[in-house]
Amino acid sequence: MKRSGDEKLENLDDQEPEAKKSKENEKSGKFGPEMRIIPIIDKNLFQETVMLTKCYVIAIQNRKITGELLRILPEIPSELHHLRRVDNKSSRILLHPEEKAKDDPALWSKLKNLGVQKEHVELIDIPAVRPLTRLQFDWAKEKWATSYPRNPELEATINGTLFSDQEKDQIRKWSDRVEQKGCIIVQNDTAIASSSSQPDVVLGHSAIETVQELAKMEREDGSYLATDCDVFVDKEPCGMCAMALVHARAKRVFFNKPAKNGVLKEGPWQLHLEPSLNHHYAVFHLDKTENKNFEEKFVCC
Amino acid sequence: MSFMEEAFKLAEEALENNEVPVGCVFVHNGKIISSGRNETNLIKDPTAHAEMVAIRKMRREIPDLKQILQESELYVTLEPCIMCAAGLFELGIKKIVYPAKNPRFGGIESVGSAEKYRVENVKTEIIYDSKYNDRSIGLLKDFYDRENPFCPLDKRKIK
Repeated sequence: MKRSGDEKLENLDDQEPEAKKSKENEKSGKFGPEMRIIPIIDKNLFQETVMLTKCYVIAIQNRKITGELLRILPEIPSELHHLRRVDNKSSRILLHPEEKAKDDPALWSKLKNLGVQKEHVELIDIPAVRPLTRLQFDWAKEKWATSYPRNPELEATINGTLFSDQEKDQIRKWSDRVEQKGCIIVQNDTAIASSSSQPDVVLGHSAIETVQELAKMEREDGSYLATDCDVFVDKEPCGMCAMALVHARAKRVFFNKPAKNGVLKEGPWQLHLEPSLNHHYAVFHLDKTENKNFEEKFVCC
Repeated sequence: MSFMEEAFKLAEEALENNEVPVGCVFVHNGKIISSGRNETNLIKDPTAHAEMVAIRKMRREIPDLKQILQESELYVTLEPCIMCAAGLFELGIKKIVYPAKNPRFGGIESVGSAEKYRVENVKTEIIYDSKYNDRSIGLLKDFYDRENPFCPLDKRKIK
């Protein structure tokens, strides 16, 4: 009897080998199935090129007159302040953007005195905006000498090297914990405030409730609100919660599941990318295989 | 006294207490059911805006609050911020009246909007009551003690 029963169970297992195996694989990983940390940044930062605009430039025939030229040339308009006046590599100097009148007689008489001829002037493509990344900078500087704001953190975010293995493990840990909790504010890998959603309470969403919890905390280290804190939320925050986290000065926001009324995921409007706000936090989607089937069914709560 | 006057009384009280001078009243069937003013410095809670303060008072006192709010009007002395506006749209409040826009983080139309928050079927009526505009901006100017009343919060003095 006993033996035949065992056989029956084994047979049942054989009928669903795939499902069973994948479950076992999940258990075998240190923190369960795979999790991708997806930064949600301005799409333009992934572009490899920048917009171009046309500008008149002078090919410098005699380097000794460069200083003189710099003195008499009209100022570069502020929207092109990312450009260097002189492109040393090509020995050329910026004259003015295309739309400005080319023939300024007073300027030309000065230029002629320095030996500049009209045939030394060319209309070329130059970077219209400041490059934002190393990749864009390397492309743009081939067109014209350009400055760009060095931002190692942004470069690491784009290259996927922002987090060490240890940090990834910590993120995974809080991501799993917040599934039960709703929202957890973490400072130095320690939870300092948390709240579940309170469906019976009007506007009792977990993130805005957690900010209120944080406000009640005595902070011995003198830290101000959620400055230097990571905020973990199970569901992508709605407009109210996302803005509450701006008011709280959160440093980074991690969410597990995109929400129907979420305002951080890629879409027509992303709150953390809104330029008029006075504080901007970084946002990451923690994409776990087990959540794949539920995309966008959730609401922030 | 008009409902907006009542809201301004609270905004002035906020100013006297070194808070961002914004006040509001919630009105149901012609009666004020709750009111609030900004108290973010007092309780060190950055979400304690006038509207949230007023709603949180009602949460304790009114059992069927969601229904009541859908029949209520809000009179507030400045365009609600993105946080408050998104919450009010979610609740489906009947009407919002305000006299001045907030270009830095106004959540009704200046920066945010119901559409941006992906809130569906919004029926909230929005009334821009410019009659009180000077008074609203004047209070903010007094508070920030600067020409631009919408200077970033992180540049303001926190007491």
